[in-house]
Amino acid sequence: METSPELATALGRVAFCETFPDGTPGRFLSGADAARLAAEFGLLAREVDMAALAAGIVPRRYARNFTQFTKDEQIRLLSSRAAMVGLGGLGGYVLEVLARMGVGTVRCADGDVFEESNLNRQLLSGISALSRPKADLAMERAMEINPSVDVIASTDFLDEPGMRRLLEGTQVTVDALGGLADRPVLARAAAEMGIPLVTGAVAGMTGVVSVVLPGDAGLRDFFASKGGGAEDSLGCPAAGVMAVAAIQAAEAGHILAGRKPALAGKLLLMDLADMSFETVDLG
Amino acid sequence: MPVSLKLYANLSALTPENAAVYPVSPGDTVGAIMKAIGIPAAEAVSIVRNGCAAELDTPVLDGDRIAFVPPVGGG
Repeated sequence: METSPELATALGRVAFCETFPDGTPGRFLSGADAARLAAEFGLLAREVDMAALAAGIVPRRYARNFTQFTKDEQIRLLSSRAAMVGLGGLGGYVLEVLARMGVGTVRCADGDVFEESNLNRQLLSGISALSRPKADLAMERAMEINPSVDVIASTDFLDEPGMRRLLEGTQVTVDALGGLADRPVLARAAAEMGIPLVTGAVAGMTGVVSVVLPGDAGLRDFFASKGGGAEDSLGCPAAGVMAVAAIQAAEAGHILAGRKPALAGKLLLMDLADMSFETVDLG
Repeated sequence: MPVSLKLYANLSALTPENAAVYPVSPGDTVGAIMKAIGIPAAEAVSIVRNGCAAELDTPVLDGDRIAFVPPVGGG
């Protein structure tokens, strides 16, 4: 995106000097000024953020992300698009991280409404959210966190054609589904569309995370079952869900920033009951 | 000669007391261990040996780390 001279001048006028946490001096942009400039110039909030970053001015909300993402990577994140299926336990936490990270567009879907059994783990759930669509809460939460992030959340349960429409034009797919039934369908859609898939699942204190890049062999039989998964008997306590979602979000961030994800072709197995972690080579 | 065993999720209830130093004999396979510790043959279980996917007839060697993982799909 070309920055107009008028916007460049306006950014220079409102930018202020401060230091990064390590003491390095920098020029920063406040959220209030970014919102005002977006309104003044008829731009999206993220377009102002990107113009600022291109001029070496850091939106202050990202100041503590700059050992993780460079300015160029932050611009790339803001211009990126992620797809996510499921806005329950995993999806709520993944969305939280993607929104705080500044991923420009998150297209997601969940046909469910919140119910009491979600309150043990699902970030977007709360007493006032009961009976409300998860997709609505997702959009509200993202808007509250970061106006530069456009969350487009569908209240549909997606079939395979619906998944393909959701994935179209995205750079990563996050599998945040609950249960085993729909996961192979999403994995197939992502593989056939050439989109990296970040998948994760939980049962009790056991969690698994894997990244399947286009052309990779896939997940072997780790998600294959004629019946249900172990979560049917063990449930899904919050700690395992949060841990798996955090790792999924980190891997999605690596992919969107243009890096190779550490779990490509691998599966991370964890058990928070005894804090054992091991990585399985799926090659 | 011992191996170490790790059973994930609902299989953890079958973890033997000597899982850290589980004795095996030359020629034993992963499938033989599964049978000995009581993992039902009908159960869809993924097997990991030293960080790589393994099969029921994969032989085990001294010092191996063997993990058994049931299907996990919760979110």
